[in-house]
Amino acid sequence: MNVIIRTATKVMFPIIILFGIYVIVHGHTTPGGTFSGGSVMAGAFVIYTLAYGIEKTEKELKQTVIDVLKSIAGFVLIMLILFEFFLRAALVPTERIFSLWSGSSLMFFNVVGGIMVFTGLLMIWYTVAKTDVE
Amino acid sequence: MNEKIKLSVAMGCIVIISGFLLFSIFSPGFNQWDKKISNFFINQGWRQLSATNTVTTIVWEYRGYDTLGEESILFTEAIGVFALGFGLFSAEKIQGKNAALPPSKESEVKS
Repeated sequence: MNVIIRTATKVMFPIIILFGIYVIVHGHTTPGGTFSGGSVMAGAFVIYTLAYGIEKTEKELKQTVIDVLKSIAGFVLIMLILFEFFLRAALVPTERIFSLWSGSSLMFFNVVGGIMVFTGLLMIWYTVAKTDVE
Repeated sequence: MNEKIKLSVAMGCIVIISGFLLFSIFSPGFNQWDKKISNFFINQGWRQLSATNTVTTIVWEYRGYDTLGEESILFTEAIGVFALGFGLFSAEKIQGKNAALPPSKESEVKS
């Protein structure tokens, strides 16, 4: 791609990732949540691939890392749901409304679901980018 | 001829589905149920969980198992695209390389 697109990607990439993390972590107080935050984070890697190519993207984040992260996130999600079902306990205190550290275990659900969405979209994108269309 | 049949079937599907939706919207019973549960979500949801995003509380707490199924849909979707892209179920991977070619061409080349 162009020099302009490469430079803009180099500047914008960490900001987009940071915004995605913000949307995921603040999912229980502000609009947003798992799907929007994970899509934003995956979109950063899509822009990076379009600017630099799939080989350089795979040096930054390998496909095996994505697969392992997705499996771990699914396992942790099921463990969290079992924890909530059997113990009926709030992981986070529910006194302070509007603060980040509030909402009974909603933040952990948001983080795990955001990782699931992010890795799922990136698995699809890596497959599409690696496949040779003849 | 074939394209015309396909187009007419698609148009018929669109007309039937949109007719059903419009009928359900304009029928007199629509949106007239007892609004107990939505009032409960709006008034008590943020007090119970101290989370101001009501959509997140509904999606991840009151309808948690539904969202678990949605995440499993994400798994299945990624695995399906992976299998399509890398040809995990193609004839080449299963039966060897020559199985993918149609048999008539092979016999022509050999004879």
